Amino acid sequence: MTCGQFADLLSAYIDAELAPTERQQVEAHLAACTSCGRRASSARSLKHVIARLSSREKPPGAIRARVEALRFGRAGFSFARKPVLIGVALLLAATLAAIVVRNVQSPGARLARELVGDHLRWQADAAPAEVASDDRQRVIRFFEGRVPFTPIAPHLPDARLTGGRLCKIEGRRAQLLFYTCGRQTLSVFVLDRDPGDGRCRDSRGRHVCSRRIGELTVLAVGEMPGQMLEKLLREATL
Amino acid sequence: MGGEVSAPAFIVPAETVERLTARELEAALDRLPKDQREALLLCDLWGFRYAEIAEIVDSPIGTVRSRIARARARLSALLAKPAGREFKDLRP
Repeated sequence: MTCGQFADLLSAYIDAELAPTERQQVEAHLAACTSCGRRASSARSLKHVIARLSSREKPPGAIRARVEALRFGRAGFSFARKPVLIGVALLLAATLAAIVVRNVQSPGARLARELVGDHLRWQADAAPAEVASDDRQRVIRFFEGRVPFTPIAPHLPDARLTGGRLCKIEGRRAQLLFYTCGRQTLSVFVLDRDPGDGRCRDSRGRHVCSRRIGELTVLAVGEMPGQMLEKLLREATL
Repeated sequence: MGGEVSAPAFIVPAETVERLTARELEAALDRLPKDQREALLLCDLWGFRYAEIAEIVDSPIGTVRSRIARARARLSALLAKPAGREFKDLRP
């Protein structure tokens, strides 16, 4: 693969939209070409900065899920050739969904849906981490000054830290840490308040469990059974 | 698939990305052609997949992929320019 061919594929690569064969070609080229490595890193940073800087405008996972449900649930409805209406329609749908969700769900269930939405979103991203490292101290340093509390990177038994990124939970800056446990990915959110009732919850086939550590709340999201997730959090150390 | 895609020839330095303010980013985004900006924001801000974006904007998925790639290339070029310089040469 030449650098020119790589450039054509780079954008789709960082969006995790390439077929396995193309992805392998890109990764092979990246391993051999420093210049394209820098280009990929720059493109990835820009992708993340758009998501981060515009986070106030970004719908939380739960609302996004509802927007999708509204869009895909109405056969025959299309935004075709009405691009001006896209933003308005999505905003209206998001507002309606927010009202509906607020009225029918407890705070804990609402949060669980939001966190699972974020978990699924970043799981689909080829490079979700703003800091990619299994070094807990390095990951903690990344968050220092970026979140309104002293950041942590808990050690979870049988799970390996892979990195983290900033996120917002109900309007407040929080940590999102990524772990792998066997073949599964875990998203661990850390925030400086107690948002729920401490119960484990299910949402869209994923489980959300929480544990208070001092003034912080750690919420883990993953595919593994709730009991396993609870055990993992119970045995977490700082 | 997707036609011609511009190469992201400009590399935005990491320190520029770190210092980027919301206003600067918005200003650069505003300089993108509307169809490119729309596709890029649906992808990066809203988190939609290419297939979903294709459905929303009623365009082939290859066109979506191409628009997003061109948007990133242009955005990189705009942001990689030294401060104080105009971007007339980079307008669509």
